[in-house]
Amino acid sequence: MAEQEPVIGIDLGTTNSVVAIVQSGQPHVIPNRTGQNLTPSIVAVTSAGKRLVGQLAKRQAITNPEHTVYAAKRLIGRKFGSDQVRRARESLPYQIVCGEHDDVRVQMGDKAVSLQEISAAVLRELKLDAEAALGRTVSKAVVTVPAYFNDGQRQATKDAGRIAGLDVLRILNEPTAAALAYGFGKQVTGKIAVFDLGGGTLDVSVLEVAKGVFDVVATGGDTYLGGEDFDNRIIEMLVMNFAKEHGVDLRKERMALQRLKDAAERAKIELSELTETNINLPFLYTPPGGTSAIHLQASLTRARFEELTQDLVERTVEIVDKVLTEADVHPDELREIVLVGGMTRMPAVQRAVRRHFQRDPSKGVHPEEVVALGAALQADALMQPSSQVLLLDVTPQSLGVAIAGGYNRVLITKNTTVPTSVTELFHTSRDGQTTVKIMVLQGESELAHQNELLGEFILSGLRLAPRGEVEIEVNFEINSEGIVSVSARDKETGLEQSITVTASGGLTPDELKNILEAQADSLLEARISSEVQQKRNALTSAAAEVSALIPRVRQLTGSSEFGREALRRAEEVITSARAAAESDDLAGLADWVDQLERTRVLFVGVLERLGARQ
Amino acid sequence: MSARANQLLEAGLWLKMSGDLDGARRLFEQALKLDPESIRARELLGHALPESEAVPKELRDVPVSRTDLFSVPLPRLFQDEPAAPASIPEEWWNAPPSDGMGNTARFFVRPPAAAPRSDFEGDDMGESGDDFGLELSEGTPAPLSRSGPKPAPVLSRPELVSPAAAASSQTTGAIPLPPEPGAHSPIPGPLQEAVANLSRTTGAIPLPPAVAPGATSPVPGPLRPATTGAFPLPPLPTPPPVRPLVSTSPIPGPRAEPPRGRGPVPLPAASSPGRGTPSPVPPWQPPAAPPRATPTLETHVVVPLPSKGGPGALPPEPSPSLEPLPWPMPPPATTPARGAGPVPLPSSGLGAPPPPRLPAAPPAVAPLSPPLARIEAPSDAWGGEGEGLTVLAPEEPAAALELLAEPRTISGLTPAPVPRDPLAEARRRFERARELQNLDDHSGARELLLQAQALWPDLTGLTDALARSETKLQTNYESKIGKLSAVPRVRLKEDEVIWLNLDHRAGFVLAQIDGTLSFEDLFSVSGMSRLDTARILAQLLDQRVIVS
Repeated sequence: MAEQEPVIGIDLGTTNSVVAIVQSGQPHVIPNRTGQNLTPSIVAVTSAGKRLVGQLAKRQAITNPEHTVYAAKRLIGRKFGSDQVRRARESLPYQIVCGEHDDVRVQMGDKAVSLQEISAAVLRELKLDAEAALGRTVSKAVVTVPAYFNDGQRQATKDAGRIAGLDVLRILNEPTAAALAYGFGKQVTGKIAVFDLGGGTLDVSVLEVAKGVFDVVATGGDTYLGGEDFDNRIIEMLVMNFAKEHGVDLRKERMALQRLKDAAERAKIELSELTETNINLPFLYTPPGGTSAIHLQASLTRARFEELTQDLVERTVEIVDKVLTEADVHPDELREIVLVGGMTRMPAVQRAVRRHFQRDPSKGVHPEEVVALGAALQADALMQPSSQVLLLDVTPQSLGVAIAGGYNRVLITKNTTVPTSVTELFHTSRDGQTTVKIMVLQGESELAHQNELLGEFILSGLRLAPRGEVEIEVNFEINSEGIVSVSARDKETGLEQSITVTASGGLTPDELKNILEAQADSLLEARISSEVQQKRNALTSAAAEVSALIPRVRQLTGSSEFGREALRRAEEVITSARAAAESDDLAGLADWVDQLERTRVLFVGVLERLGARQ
Repeated sequence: MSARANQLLEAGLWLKMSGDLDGARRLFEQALKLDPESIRARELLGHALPESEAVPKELRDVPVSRTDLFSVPLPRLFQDEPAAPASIPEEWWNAPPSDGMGNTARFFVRPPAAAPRSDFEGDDMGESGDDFGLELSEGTPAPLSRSGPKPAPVLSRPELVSPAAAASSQTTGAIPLPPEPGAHSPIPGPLQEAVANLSRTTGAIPLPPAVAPGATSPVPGPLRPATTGAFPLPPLPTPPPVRPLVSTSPIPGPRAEPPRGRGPVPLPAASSPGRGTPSPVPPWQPPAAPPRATPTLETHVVVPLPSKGGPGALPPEPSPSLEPLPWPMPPPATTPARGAGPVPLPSSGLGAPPPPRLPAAPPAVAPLSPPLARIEAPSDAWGGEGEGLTVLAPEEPAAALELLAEPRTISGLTPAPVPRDPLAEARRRFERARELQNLDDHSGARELLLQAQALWPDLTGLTDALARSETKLQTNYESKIGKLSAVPRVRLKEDEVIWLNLDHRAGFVLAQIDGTLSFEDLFSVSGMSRLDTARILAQLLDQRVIVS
């Protein structure tokens, strides 16, 4: 029996991403090629035009801010004019521009790159890590998104997966994935609270779990509250103390700030285990004036760190309170509390959660990995028809039509499992109405204009009659792919009109097609380029080796005419080879490498002979 | 024997030495055909000659002292370094503040020549592990030495070379160190008179003391690593107010039941107006950012250094030297810092041990000495030298801490005087740079080319010449680094690193070396040009701070 193609689960986070897979019935995280379980969701382009993803991109995020894109998740699938994007533009260092369809793009060099492409770079990195670990091609994945993501954002995430070469089998809500990882679908029914404090965002969700259906009954949070804010408090403290002592504002020193950021994050993590930590940054800053570089040495206690971040922890509790209140859920009604995100390791956060919910949260799964593990379980279930875990896909938001008076009449409520179909009867609202407009809305508001218009169409040719006499049957259908079809039929005449609504992630089909084709081309180019790059590296190394030998050979043989001639020719070869290194001609590069190698052998032989005489 | 035949024999010998015996034989045969009377050709062809005679006569006397074929040797340029000048001439102290090139006055320092070290166990490059600018604290063992424990190091203050002397010689030692007015310690022998002379000279700057062998002195102020130390963290200002929560997403409350029994719901007419612009329902509104409390950043002004010509003024910078460097030294940074601590000492030439840090006797300064080793002012990575006034302008208190820094600016610099004819000056420097390039001094050449570029950016040929030097330097550095895919690691412990003499850029690069990033990765994350990064890495490797 052919081995089943592996399917991975991906937690595509705002700050960090994780990939996991189920093997031998157990989910486990796949470390990246540097051995870390977490891959920063950061993409950068260096001044040399090199693209960096993950840890490398993170390490130069502050020294290269204009070309380092982070927190793309806050922007993906959103409209350029939305409040979220407007707020992000005020604080993000990279340039955000408007795409052709009011979508959000990032200006990187001379190209406006879509957020889908940015996220695709991260997904591709995770894909490659998985392939490297498994030794097999990976082309299918389940990707998680926040519960509040609308269809546009979900579709954009799927598009990112496609660009990365992944067939996204399912888009899964993050709190649902976390609950899955704890086995709550099988063992637990009832209400579960998921407290997700990650690197950049806080999400609090309440889930109702019953018969394999995970219903997100409440969700709330702060998309600008996360671990980085805690890091910034440490950085602020260090910067202020340094300024007091040396009169220097390190915030204007990019290299220093980069090191401070890395050190602050490390200190924060250490203080989850230790009660005190040291921050040592030698040669942090060189004052203009020629004196020695200044080191920074500081110690930070857990108590002091908690004091610095007390307001942040309190804010998380307030958000929890608000979500529970709006969901009309009392902490006593909750069966379990699930902690997600690295920041939930902080003792002060755990204490606050415990104090508020009056119970200990669930433990046993790493909070940074729990979402990816749940995604991997779902991915495995999709490939195993006999799997006991059957997580039904649900509509994330309600669907309805606009009715007279400007109201929204919901036909399919949110979290309804798909596929599904609903039919409802409507009538004309005015005397002599011969046409009716069917406006398909997505959202929870009772007022039509406060929801999102997915599409509209007109049914005409109705009988002239007083209001209410002409009946129109409206049918909503959602298939398993999430495609919504809406039809309206005049019951009397049988006349029918319909539309099919597909969520758009901001990229048109043509744009997506072009990106995928360009991706294929660049894959081909990458294959060629990697060989060319290897030859270039070999050429550079060979040229460097021969260059290194020249002085010694000159010293030993420079007085002879032949020696001088040989050296002159060798230098010519080196110069010409280096010039040829700029080309993409693989054969030409190989020739130069051969020539350099022959020269090297000659020189080595000469030196061996002459050196042996001593 | 005809010249051509001789050439063929030489070429044949080369081939023979490289192992190509057939090729060698063919060349010998050709040589014999050209010159049938050639006994040598016959012998080379037919007889097994002693190996020593197989070596061309020109090569026989060339000594070879190294077996490491792949080390980068240092040109033996300075084996015949003359004795250091015995005293600093009077006119040096009275020299005009400017050398006419618009450069800020600088010290030029040459390390004292001394007897070869008996305990030298340097590497093939003729350097011991504790060269290159490591000033050791009292009693601190040399952390980088490969020769094991050494006697307690002795700090020595190299004597100062007058700019006039430096200008008149082909090379100058250039290790700028700020003098320490008022510093006092016993000065042996020949320098006493010089010091006495100095102290009587108006505006002169007293010599830094030379420490007798075996004595120790505390690490001078500028050289001591300045640390903030562990300090009790001051209380924060009032924390920012908690951000007001904006209402979260509209949680679907109880839905109003449709009126039952009333039949179909009226749909709006096709022409019914009133629908506004659809807007997506956001899950929740992000809370507004709270106003941050203004951090109480204190500021203080750094007292500017003495201006040129005034009391305590630094002597002028001499003209650039003519001799190539013993090794490619980093060029000075564009905003160099003045005399940031100890600088790398030059090594001697190939095959000779480096000058020890224990001067047998403080050398005097001779105004017209033969070519001296010119040690280019190091760049930022090793405590680059600065120029002019540096004033750290007081920073205004920031309203909020931003995670990302803005580009660094330094205010208050006194602009260097612009030469009257910048084009001519630029051409002069360009020509000088080309001379240095021909002598393989690409570091010095680059420095001059950058200066010329600053004066006249459009000078013909300048860009190409600069690219050539930078390429050469890049190649040299990368040849020292070796395979770029290799992953370096730091050899030293944290408490040893802190005693190195690095600046913030080298510190940044060093901080990125954690055993996971390759050299190529370090180029990507350094935030500096590839050349600067390569220079820093090469020097860190030289110093055995990191290993590949």
